[in-house]
Amino acid sequence: MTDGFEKKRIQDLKSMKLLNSLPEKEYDDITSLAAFICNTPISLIALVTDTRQFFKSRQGVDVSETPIEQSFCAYAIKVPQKPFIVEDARKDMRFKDNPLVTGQPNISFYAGIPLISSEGNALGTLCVIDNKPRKLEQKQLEALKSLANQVVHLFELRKKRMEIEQSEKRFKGLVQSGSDLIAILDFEANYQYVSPTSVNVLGITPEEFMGKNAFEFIHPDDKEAAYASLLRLENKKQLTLKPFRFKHGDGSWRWIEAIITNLMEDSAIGGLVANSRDITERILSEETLKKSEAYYRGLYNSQTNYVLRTDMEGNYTYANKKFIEEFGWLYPDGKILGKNSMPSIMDYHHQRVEEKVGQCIAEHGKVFKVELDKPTSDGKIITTLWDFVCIVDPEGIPSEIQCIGLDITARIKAEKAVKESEQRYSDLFHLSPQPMWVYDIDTLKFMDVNEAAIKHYRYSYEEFLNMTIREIRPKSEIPKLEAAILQLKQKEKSYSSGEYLHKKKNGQEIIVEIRGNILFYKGKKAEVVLATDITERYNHIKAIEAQNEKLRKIAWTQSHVVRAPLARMMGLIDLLKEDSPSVDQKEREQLLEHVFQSATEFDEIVRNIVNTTQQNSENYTLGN
Amino acid sequence: MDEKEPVYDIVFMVDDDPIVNCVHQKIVRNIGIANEIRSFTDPRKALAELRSELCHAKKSMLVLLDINMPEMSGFEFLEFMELEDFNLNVDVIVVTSSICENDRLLAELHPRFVRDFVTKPLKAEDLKKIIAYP
Repeated sequence: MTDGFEKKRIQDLKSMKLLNSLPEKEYDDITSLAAFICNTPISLIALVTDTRQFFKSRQGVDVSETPIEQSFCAYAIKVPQKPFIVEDARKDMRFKDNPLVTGQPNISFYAGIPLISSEGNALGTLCVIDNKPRKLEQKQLEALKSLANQVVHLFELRKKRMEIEQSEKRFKGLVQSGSDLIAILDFEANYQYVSPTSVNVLGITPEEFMGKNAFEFIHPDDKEAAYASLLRLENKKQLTLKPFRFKHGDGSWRWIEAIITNLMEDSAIGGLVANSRDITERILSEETLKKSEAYYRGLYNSQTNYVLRTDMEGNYTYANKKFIEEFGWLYPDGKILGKNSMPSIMDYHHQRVEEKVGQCIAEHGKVFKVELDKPTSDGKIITTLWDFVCIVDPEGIPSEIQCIGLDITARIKAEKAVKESEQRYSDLFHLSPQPMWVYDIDTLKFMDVNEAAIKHYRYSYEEFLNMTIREIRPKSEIPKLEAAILQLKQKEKSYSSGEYLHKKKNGQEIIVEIRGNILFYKGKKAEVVLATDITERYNHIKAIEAQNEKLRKIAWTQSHVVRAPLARMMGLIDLLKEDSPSVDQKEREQLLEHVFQSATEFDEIVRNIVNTTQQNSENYTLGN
Repeated sequence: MDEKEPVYDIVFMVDDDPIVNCVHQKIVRNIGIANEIRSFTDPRKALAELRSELCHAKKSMLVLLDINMPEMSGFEFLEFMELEDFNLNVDVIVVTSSICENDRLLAELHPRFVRDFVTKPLKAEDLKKIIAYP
């Protein structure tokens, strides 16, 4: 009787939770009706387990159960499809020795209808019993069957009610305790309901959530993603939101993971059900893990960096591939761990290493930079740049020095080349016979001046470096200088040129021709200037220009004074030539007289000019 | 086109040399472009008379102006016209013995009045061309 089917049957029976339950009116009504219809003194609803039969309802019997061995019903349920009828138990070999037959209640007649659950299991029977033999009419049997159906129906009802109760209980349990927070929101994410767990999870009471919108609590950086997910819910039943930050009642941000179920269609809920959980711890530890993993992976796999650690005596505890590749030759037995690191550093840098390590220990956790020369296998020396950091054990005691290094030989070489070219440039600058200087374009301060400039302007080198280029000019020249500088800056020209008035230390003003080139000098934008004193040349030009002016005047005089009588004569002759009647004899004589006067005047002028020119040229010769 | 209407009401001759004025007068009279001709050896007097003419009548006037004059140069004369904002119905022809290009450029600084710059001697043909007299 303990085969698979029987096991299932027992389970089904137990799930009803009918065994040992108190009498209930619905069941008693049925048994009393059954006894009445069949006209028997006893009627029972018996439930058969593997050890006993329990009477859920009983008419005419005092005991609530009997052992399985005495059970008629156990027989009845063996063929669940049919009613089980014993007309006279005293003559039936199966029951004639049954204590229920031989003693109280002296069963003689028995009719039982199996009670078949919705799962198909015969859980027991509805039966009628008499103490004298008899038969049931067909009508009575039919009535008994339909009453048995009623019982089964009651059983099913009970099962459903229990299921509901159970799920309610489960829901209540979920909602009221535990780390999950359940909230019901409308489509605009306004809170409709928040479970009491909100106090535990978020430090906010359900009442405080009412009338508020979920987005008021979500971190600004996470709002967009959350909103986008929410929009997707319109055509989806359920989704899990990417972890987002939610403002805890104490003001801190907590990472929340939420599962949103769209129950808009469900009239009982009519909203979005959000099942949220605080996963801050998880997120934080994940992040830390990710960061440190990425950092270390980057470091150890690096092909350009040396990574090594040493103990406090300077013996290697770790060295990466790159370091071993390049400096492993220093340790011919191939074992680098445990060896001292000093041989990999040029002797003259040993003291530097010791100093740095001292600093590291004094301020552990802080990174110190140090440049070290190291020998290579081919007998050369390379320059390396290192980050030293002291690592402490859990007790805070320095345990290791971590060193991350880089070969910077190429960089140093390039720097040297730059220095050399700077030196060449510097020589060119300092040895120039013309005054030269470098000034900072932003502050206009002199940054360097050459010997020629010092000689010419009479300021000492120190004086120059405390001055700006404004101070070697008379005040009147400042606006011109400022305009030139502004243009240099705005147009981003790389050179400049022009003529300016400068002032020496003794106050003497000189005219200089300036040629300048923009360059970067000691990290600043500067202009190197070559100044040529053109005062003398300028004076020569001035003299020539004065001479020219004199000549121009002579030309003008000639043009006006010399040509005046000539032009007059030409005009008069024109009139005389014209054979016009308007000119009579008398006028003709007058015109001729004018011509003569003009000729005389012209003669006089020419004599004057010759005299003046002779005097001037004499003056010029004497003056020189 | 025998009876030609004079183009100007008054023509002013301004030259410190009376002979030049005399020659110019003859030329202007011969081509008959003016109702009245006035000659001045002092440009200041010419300027005063020109000023008074402009006060009461809208007459069209031409000035034949020399440059190199002792009392006032032709350029100063033009500057006064400019400063006092003379009417635009005064035309000026600069007539000078100068052959300096610079003098021509100076004359061109007064385009409101100066119609042309002529190097002496002035010829009837030139004058006709300048005032576009047929």
